Amino acid sequence: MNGADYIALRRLSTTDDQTLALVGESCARVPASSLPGLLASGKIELSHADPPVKKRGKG
Amino acid sequence: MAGKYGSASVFFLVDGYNLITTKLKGLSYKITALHEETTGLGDAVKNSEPTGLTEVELKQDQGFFDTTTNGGHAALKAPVSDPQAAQRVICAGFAGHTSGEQFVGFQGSYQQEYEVLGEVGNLTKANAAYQVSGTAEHGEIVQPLATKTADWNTKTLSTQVDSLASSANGAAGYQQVTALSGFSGFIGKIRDSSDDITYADLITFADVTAAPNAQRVTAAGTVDRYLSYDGDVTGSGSITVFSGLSRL
Repeated sequence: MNGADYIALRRLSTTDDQTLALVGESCARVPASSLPGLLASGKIELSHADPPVKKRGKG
Repeated sequence: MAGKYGSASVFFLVDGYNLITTKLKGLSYKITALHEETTGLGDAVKNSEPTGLTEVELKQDQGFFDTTTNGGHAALKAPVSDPQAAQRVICAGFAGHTSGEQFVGFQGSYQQEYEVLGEVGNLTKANAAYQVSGTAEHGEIVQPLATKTADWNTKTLSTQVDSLASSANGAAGYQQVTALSGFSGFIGKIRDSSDDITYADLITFADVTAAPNAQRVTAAGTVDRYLSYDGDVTGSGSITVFSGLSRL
């Protein structure tokens, strides 16, 4: 899992309460080992930031 | 004996007032599952069925009548009669003031009675009773009542709580501030974690600028197994805080 693929649904922080991601931000700084647990408990979700697929022009 | 407790392990906090300081002689709560008798013709023994209703009663006995600032009299002198009155935030514990130990919060509590007892040759005492219109919410202490003078969090103090399992149905967080001086603000927060490495904000209590103060705040969804309490103060001073979390 890559944290950059996920966004936070809650503010995430280190053990000493340093912010890793605010709500809506990328989880790029979140340790990869924590991602499965956060996903399972609904604290992060997959980012839907994929660029839209371009329609091929006529002709 | 493990699992056994005595009177030294009891605490009682009502709306930010620490009523254990009134030297209570008794504190009790009773949870009753209401039943309806269903005995009918042909039955040889008495029958009853649970109705789905429960009732919670809470009573404190024989505390000293205490008129000091933030003492028992200030806390109890005005039983609730206004239908619009705010509910009281009550936390009690019978297993000591230790992180991870049990406490009980009473949702929807109204103080119903206040009785002052003057007797010849004895110190004046007072009783109080509460009507609980909600449930008794059992949970774990995440911040035992303690005085702090700077920011802290229980994880870095190695007193985070390991509940051993997550839960799925949300939680109710309780916070009681019994004393505050100097600080211009205080925000308490409960965080949860599945791995004790990365934490997420679970419940953030409203800013506290004066004591006594008590709050009950709920959160929905999954609550992970590890719990940490964070205190964030503004300015310099001291504050005395308790917090607990009940998984719903």
